[in-house]
Amino acid sequence: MAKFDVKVIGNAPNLPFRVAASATRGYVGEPMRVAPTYTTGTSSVNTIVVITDDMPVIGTDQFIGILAKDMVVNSAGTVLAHRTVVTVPRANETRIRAKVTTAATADTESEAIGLLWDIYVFDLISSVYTWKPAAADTGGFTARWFNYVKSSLDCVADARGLTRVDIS
Amino acid sequence: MTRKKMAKFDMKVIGHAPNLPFRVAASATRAYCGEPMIVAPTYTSGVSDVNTIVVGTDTLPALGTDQFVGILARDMLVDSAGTVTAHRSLVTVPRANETRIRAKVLTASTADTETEAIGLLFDIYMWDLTGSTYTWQPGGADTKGFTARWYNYVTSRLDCVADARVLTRVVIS
Repeated sequence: MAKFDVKVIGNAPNLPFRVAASATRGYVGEPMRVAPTYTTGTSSVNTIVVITDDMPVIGTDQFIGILAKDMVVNSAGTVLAHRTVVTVPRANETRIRAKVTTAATADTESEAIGLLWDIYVFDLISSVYTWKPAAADTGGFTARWFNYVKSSLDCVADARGLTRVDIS
Repeated sequence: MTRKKMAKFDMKVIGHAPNLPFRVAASATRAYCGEPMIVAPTYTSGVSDVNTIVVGTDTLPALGTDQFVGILARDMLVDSAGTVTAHRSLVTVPRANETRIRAKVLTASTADTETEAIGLLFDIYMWDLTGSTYTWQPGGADTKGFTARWYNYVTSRLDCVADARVLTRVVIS
């Protein structure tokens, strides 16, 4: 699985959120989101879920933060309805560290520097969360720092990636 | 101007948030620790028409209309007649989508079981002041300033976070 794929660097609180029964199982270090639609102020969902591939996109996905504990499951490994804890990053401040999808693109200092301020989303195609170039200006993260020895980037969440997406 | 009943400690800030100074005008509506504060300036060439904060009235704030400042951290200063004097106050300023603000819900019976309270999570809220007490009222629209994130069904309370857009300036022209 993808445990500890993503790490929060710096200031960010751990806050409680609700997880639904039979949700996709999430582990500490995995990114979480919520995807409600609103009808006269009422949300269609009340619980958070793990992020899937190529998320978050500004205006589409609301990024919540990085799961701070493994989800609670029964003996069959099915997620139970429970209270969990998520590390909630501060917009444009808290850095989120993960490897880049293609390590060879960030394994020299000049390559890694060339990625700074580029826009990123999470990749999950190999059951591991990594930073993937968004290939669009609407991805939810911006690269701010690097470690080319480990081919990792520190990205920050855009304020618009952390806020409600459906206002009508 | 004074209110008949107090709403002291109606709202409580949970978690990280700084206390910061703001200016209050003489004769402002009297406010107490734990009440929400707003500012409602209009701008002309970058100049604001007001320089002071005021206590929030009923069914606020709305995105794009009201700028929520935070929760008053001390009672306003008044003279012997109870009239607010011009002074420096302190407000606990929440961080967008992070700092949780705890208050009772307007209709306690809608959130006095765990199932009910969970059903309110991620709904949109504003504050109500119809009973001289600040409570969380369902926004009734998608444009209100707060989102419910956690609950305490024993006390019929919700913890809401402020949207980034309700903490920022509302008039850009």
